[in-house]
Amino acid sequence: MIGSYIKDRMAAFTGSAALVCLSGLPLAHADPAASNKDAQFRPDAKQNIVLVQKGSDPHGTNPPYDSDDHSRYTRSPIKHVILIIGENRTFDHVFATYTPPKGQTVSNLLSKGIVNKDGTPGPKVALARQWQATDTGTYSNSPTKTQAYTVLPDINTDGAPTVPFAASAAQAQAVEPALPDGDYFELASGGTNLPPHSIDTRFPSNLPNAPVDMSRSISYNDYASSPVHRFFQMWQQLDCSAKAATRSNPSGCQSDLFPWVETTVGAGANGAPQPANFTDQTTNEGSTAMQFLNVAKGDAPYFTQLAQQYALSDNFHQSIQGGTGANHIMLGYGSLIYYADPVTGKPQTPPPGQIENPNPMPGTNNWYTQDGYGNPKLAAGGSYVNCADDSQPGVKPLKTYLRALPYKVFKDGDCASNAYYLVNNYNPGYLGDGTPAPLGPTQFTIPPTQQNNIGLLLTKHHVSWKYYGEGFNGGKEDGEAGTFCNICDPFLYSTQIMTNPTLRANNQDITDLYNDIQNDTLPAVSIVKPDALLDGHPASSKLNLFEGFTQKIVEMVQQNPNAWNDTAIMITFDEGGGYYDSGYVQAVDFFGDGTRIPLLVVSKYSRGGRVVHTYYDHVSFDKFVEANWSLHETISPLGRDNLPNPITTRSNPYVPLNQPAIGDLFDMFDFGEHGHW
Amino acid sequence: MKVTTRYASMPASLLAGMLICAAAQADEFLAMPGLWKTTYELEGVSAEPHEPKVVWHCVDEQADPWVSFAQLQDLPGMTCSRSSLQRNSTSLKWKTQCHGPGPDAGADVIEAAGAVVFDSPQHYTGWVKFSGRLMGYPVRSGSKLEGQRKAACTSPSD
Repeated sequence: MIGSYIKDRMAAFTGSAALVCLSGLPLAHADPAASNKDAQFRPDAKQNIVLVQKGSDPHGTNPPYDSDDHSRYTRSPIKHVILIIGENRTFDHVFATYTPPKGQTVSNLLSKGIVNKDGTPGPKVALARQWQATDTGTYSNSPTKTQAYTVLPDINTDGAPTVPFAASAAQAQAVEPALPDGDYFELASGGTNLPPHSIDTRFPSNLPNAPVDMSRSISYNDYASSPVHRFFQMWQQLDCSAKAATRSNPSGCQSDLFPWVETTVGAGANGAPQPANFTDQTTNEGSTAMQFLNVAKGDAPYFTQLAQQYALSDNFHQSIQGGTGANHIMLGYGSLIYYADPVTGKPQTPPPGQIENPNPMPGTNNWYTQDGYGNPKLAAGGSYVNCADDSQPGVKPLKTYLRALPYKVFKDGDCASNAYYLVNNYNPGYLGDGTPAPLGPTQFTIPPTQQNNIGLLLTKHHVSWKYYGEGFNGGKEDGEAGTFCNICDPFLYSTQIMTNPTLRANNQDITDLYNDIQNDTLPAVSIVKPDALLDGHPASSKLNLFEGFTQKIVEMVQQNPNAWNDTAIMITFDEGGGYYDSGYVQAVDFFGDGTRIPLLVVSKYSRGGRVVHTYYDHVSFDKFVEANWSLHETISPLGRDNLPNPITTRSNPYVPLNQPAIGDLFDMFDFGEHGHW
Repeated sequence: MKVTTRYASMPASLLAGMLICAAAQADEFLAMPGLWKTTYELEGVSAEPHEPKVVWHCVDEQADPWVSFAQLQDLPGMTCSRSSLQRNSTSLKWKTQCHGPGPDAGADVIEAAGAVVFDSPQHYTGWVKFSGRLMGYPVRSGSKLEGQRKAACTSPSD
């Protein structure tokens, strides 16, 4: 949350201022009617590469990153991909009532009958019924359910701002460069007019046990609160049990404990005891997780427009059952990173207070023993898990569940021996200028990692890339009133990148992206992150602000014919933020997947409003990059980019028969006659 | 850093605790959230020269400036009361009076005072001073402080 600082700062200081072709892996859809384009790209890859020799680029769009630059050696017409990552919205939270163009189908709350188009509970609302449960003594990812809620706990304001962050649109524009001119009023409006950490009286009490249509109570431009989205909490929210596994739901995830997790543990207390007089409002959330926007009533208009015109996935997932940092790390590394000796890179044991212990404290129902974002005074805030060791807190229940599934998960959970993986948010090992970050039991910073990542893989293969983080400001991380997201940049964790001045310089700011789009100097692979004001995170931001951020980039690309000709813009989120979602979740390994999140692909080759059902997660982006640029190599042997593409049936395109499997995003395109390379 | 030095065998750890607390963390008012580095120097604990000390601390967006920059909790083993707190959008100034912990608690009194002034959202200078008697010994110490924001820092809400 940006809080009153931004407002004050604005007031006082700102005036001046295919194919994956992963050889040997099983591939593609069994269903010939499926629209998977992988097959067109997979075979005989070398002959199919679309080559534009350096120096012969008719548009001059081949920037001189490397004397042996392979950035334009692609298997598809896509020479540039821009991945824009917002924050904290599930697919159903955004597209609950979306109706696709004729001929398309979508899996959402409306299509399942859980809600009606007007947002009221639908005929099959029981599919989303939420339960209370009991968990004492030992953590359970599928606790014993006691009874369904009669009415949902009241929604709480949590940290949603009472007043907006700017006093005027002009004041906002003085700090924030990344919105269309007409959108700045959004930063100067939408406060709750309610105190934080109180019942949100904008929503009715006695809410029925059903998803909550936000549009019935607040405007799309209003700020609202944020549900919990941490690792062990998210596993509980999904309530996955092998006993509940069915043919159509082989992971057995029931998604029926969202408010219960919010109200019993919330976002963790860094080892502090449960407060006295504990109620379902003590964690300051209530039933926030059940909120959804209503596109049928005009919410999310720009993303709805993009969905209607381009391609939408209704089966793309957050890769980790956790928050921002862990999910960005998975995107960058294909796996999670672990606590390591900064010199050798070998696994080490973190300080005791930083190790997760989700076992409930004695005498409590689900109040975790050690879990949280970090409290320096307590030297506590558990966020690491040694998942190779079944004796570690919380590990055995999850491993038992995974081993009982009707399919084998990835590498028995994908846990290296003696490795304590970071499953939530800690600061990266480097400051933006390359300085090693301070470490220790009170810093909540993961030491630098030497694990491989997509940036290093691209560099090795002479393919250009950049990470554009708004507010980076040349490494000072102080742009846009200090709202740069350091934990979002996967490369700030990397020794090889941050100690190499050339590679470190690939970390850039939003204005660098604008310049690169307008000057035809885009790298092959771009990852783009808004600042905390515009990232769409509930409480600290709003979805309309992330829409504006995205719209500015999309229109800038479209206004440059060279860029629009061969660029794909992918728009997604880091995670679902803890909001309810009704979609299938594949248990890939110990770490996830988690809930569905939206993915939109905007390009000349993604037109028509298609809804793609192929199973994806964040690492699908890595698979796309590896395939499109013919890298013939994955990030590491432990990475999920080693997983095969899904094979599905016509009757259920959402659930891979060969799971665990994730697609490579080629289904999001229709290259037509350009597809036969 | 020029600091007045004149007292005897006050435990070094106690005085260090005082200064670390005073140097402490940062906040929301007109200081930028992020990772702050505060540098201070302990002088007067002994005749030995002291290296500047550094405290790193992460400041959330909605942090209380008093907690972040002028932590006012009791000095170790003593009971403190706040005799004066003044703030505006770019500065904090405080005075506290602490009693105990010696056998004659009434005789062990330390007056603490400090201030920080921001010249930008990313930089401040300040000072802290302690004076009085502890365990029968006269105490007087202080330090200049300097705080600099160095980077972003993760927020609990991400």
